[in-house]
Amino acid sequence: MATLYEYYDTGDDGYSSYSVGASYYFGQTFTTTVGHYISSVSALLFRSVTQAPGIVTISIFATSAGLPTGTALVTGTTNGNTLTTSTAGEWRETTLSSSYLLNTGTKYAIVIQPQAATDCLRWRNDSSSPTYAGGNAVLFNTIWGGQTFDFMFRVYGVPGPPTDKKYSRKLIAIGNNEVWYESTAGTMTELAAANGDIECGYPLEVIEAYQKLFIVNKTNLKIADFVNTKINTTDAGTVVCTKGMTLTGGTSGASMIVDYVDAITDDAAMNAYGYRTTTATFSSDETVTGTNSAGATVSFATSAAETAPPHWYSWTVFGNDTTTYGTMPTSSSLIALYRGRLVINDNHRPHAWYMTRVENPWKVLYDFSTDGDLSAITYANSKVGEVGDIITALIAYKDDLLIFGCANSVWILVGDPLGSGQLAKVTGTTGIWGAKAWCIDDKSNLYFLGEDGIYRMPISETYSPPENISKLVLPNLLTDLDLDKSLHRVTFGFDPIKYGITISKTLLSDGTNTNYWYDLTTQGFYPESYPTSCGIFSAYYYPATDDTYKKFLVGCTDGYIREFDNPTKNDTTTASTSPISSYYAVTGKLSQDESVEGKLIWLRSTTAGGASGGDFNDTDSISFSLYTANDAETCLENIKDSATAFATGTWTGTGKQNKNIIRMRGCWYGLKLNNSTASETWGINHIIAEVKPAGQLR
Amino acid sequence: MPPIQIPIPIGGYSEGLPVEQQQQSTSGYMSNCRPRDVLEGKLRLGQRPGLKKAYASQQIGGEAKPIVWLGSITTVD
Repeated sequence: MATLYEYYDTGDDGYSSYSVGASYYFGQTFTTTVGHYISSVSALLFRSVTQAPGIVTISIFATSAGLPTGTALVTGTTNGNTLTTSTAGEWRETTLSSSYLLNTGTKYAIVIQPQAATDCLRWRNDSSSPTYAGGNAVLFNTIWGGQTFDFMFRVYGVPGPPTDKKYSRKLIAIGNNEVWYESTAGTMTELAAANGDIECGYPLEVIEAYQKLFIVNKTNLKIADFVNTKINTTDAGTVVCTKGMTLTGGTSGASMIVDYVDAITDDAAMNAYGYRTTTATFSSDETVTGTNSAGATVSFATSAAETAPPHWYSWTVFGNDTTTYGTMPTSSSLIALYRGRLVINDNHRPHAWYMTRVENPWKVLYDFSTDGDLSAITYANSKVGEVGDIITALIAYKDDLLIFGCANSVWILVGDPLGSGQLAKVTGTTGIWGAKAWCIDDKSNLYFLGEDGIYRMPISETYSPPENISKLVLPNLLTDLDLDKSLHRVTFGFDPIKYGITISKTLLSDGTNTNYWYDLTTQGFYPESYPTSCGIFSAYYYPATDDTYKKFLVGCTDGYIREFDNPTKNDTTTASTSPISSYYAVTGKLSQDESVEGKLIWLRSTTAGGASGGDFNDTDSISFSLYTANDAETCLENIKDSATAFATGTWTGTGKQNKNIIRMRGCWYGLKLNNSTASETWGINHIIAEVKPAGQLR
Repeated sequence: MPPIQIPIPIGGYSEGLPVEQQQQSTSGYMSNCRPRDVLEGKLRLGQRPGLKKAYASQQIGGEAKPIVWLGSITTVD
């Protein structure tokens, strides 16, 4: 049975006639909201009293720039001579020769052309106040032209082939006390209602759950709701709403499943948030009714038409009913989602944790008699009790494990605390530095900044103690970083594309930064520095719906989101660019005999890119500096101190370079490679040198 | 005597041992290098990728204040 899909069938106030025929015809563009097969088209038509249209052809065309293009996708015909001559017109439905699949969200055009090349056919339109948003009238006279009115039309069809349920991801960025979301792919828009309702000078953490963001920001406990429809009333009525009940509009027929209400008091204003299950929308001044979980009838009148998401509201217990749903902590700065529960800390009880009821983030009351094993629970009524250390990070891993990073220890909760869950201390020798000083890689390893370096801990129920992976290569890391929680922010971010971890220490006041790239392939640390405007305050791999936007992103000092981009050879600062100063140095023996000197005769490198141009991207220039000394440490010290080099040069081409004749005598060599030129980058394949014995060390 | 290979420190930075005993394929002096080059994505030492503004260069919050949180939300269409 055919279904009416796209249409504009009311508000006609006139008609168009055309000297139609081979060269003149008219049409109406429309946009599909869902994909479907089109089977017939109906148009509000009438014919001339004096001139017969003959056979009228109805065609569907693709569009380009809003105008019909190409050849007809599918056509149908009707006898125009049998059309009414009444100017009110008649809805003439024309079955198409075959059904044709129209794609979702795509603009098509209905084109109508009579057989007779005379002014014989009329199509009713709305020219005074056309409101169809999916298209407009189009007329052909030598070329197609768009019009400012709409023809009356109806498109019928049957559902297209089934598609997978579609989901969309939106990037979220928070800064300057504002919440921004990705309104369309690649474009960020402010959630205006949140402006000034959070304080980014305070610790702030967010978790995504149930298509909402739950934000803890000391006393600011907030929700950004991207799924629910909101209706409101000035009088909540005597019978209270409950979560999961269905509300139905008496006038509109709209229905929603209640998720949250912010009041339950008779005569009090109430906002109700729920997932609308109908295409009909709630209207203003209609009576909304439903049956709550106790079987009683809820009834209230809406005071405005529904509001579409996103919404911004305070995170309270359901209906602000503390008797039935408990009392939220008044100040929190850590949050996680674990086994369908939201887990938060209590800043006033640094060892305490709270878990909401499973699947109900608005109930924190321990209510085993009602909710059983799904009940909300806290440290106080759980067998596992308090952690016993100051909680610094909450890290949920799937639904299996919850890790409590603490000031001096790491604890792990396996299972549900209301069931057979067990809390165990993984280590008492290190804690986790802060709420963002950790990340998890793709192999279930937790990395974090701890007491004496960077640690890695496999996450499993048979947990093992964390291993300090920086101790050997960065023995003075903590001393060098000289961290102060009141001055610095430490951020870890796992980049699955470049396959490593960005570890950043950023000075809160101006963005001065010290960073390491930890490469998961080589398991090595690579020091990095960025312009202060690019100092990292947040990091996130964004698994966007649109592959174009799947990137590892960093939130920077100056309010810009940035990405590490391979083709980009400079760092983009707030209003300009900054060249990247990259370098390394190595040292080596010129003689295996400590008492004998060697002589480095020549040096030759092979730089990246093969031949100039061609398939492989080419390196830019690389400068080198050669040093010599009787011991390695002096050699490296001279390099670090920018002492005068024995020889310098620049490799400017790609592939194998000409020999650099050096003739440098000594026990050790030091070679520094560097490039700090704007808009340049480099890669090196290998370097060789000829070394000969040079005689006894003097 | 055949030419010697000058090592390229693809293993990253290390300052844990005396310079004379520098761990193989590491450097005691390094900045802004990564082991996977930006030219072809090969495991080959080179300069790190540059930081580029994303999202049409939109400044979150409209002024030079840090972005303190980045994440995403998934919703049913």
